[in-house]
Amino acid sequence: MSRLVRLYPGPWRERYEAEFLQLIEDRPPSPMERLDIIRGALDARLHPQVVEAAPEPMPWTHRLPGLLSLSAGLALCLAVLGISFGPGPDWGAAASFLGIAVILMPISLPGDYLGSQRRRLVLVGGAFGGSLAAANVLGWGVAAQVLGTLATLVAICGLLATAALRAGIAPRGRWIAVVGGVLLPLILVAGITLVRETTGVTIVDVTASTTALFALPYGLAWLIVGLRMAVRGSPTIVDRPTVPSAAGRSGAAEVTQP
Amino acid sequence: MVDGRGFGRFAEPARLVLVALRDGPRQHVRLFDEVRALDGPIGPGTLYAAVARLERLGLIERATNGNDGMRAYRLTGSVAGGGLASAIEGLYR
Repeated sequence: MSRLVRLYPGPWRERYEAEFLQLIEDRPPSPMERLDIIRGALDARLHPQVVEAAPEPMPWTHRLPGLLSLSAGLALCLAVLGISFGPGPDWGAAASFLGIAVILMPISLPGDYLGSQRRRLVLVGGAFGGSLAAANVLGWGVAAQVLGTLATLVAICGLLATAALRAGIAPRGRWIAVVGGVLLPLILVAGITLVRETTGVTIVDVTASTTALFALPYGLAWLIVGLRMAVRGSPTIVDRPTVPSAAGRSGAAEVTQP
Repeated sequence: MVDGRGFGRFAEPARLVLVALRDGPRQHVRLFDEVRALDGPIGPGTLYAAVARLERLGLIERATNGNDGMRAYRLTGSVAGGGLASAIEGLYR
């Protein structure tokens, strides 16, 4: 029955859905009355009587983290494309973009959401720091290189996942970003290298230029996450934490008075 | 943008809502029953189309109803205070 109510526009549902559902639960509608509900929904869409309360204007600073993430993604994509298709082997400009991306990524992350994610962030930071410390203690042998790689992987995935978290992306979307942006390309590179080393068959000539291309999904992931973050807005670390108003939380709709 | 047109086919259901609320606030299910008792089978879609229009025009409002303050309606002060006839007349203009 609630499917019929979903035909009504959002602001109408904000205001009347609960009582309407209760009404049709208490007085189950006949087939003709179901038709009447559909007509009512059509009327509510054609001649809206309820408008959504205007949202409070977002401070411009809330766009900054998203724009930084967006810029980081753009810089990384430009660096990758420069390395892959540039004149080379002098990748000075491309390397500059890479440096910009590496700086912008962590800068775009601190915000008021960090407090609520403290445990996860400590876990990621701990894994990163622990891996680096272990690599240093062991000296830079094979085991240390593995740990160093692991630390880098944790950092790369952690940064993207944290940005996605800040952009309000659901857990499934965050996993897609991390798997599609980092793990899948990494597995591809590792697989191609392994095949070449074990069988001598060269699927793709893995040079620095081609390897860089595998970082493109990561850059694109940052672009998408940054765009979402910029559109949605997110308080920066210097902004006062946002406490949604009661109207904002419920998305309360208002019946306008003439 | 809120539609500014009149009640059209909802004028009669709106009149019934006003009449049903004449004697005081009504919980929404009871309001539905009373409107139906006044004029036969009016569906929930029609009832709420009328209610939304009446509320927009400030002829009815939500009233506190015990712990369930969101789900009762009453006539607004001007309508309850002797303006019912002119309010009903206005529905058909």
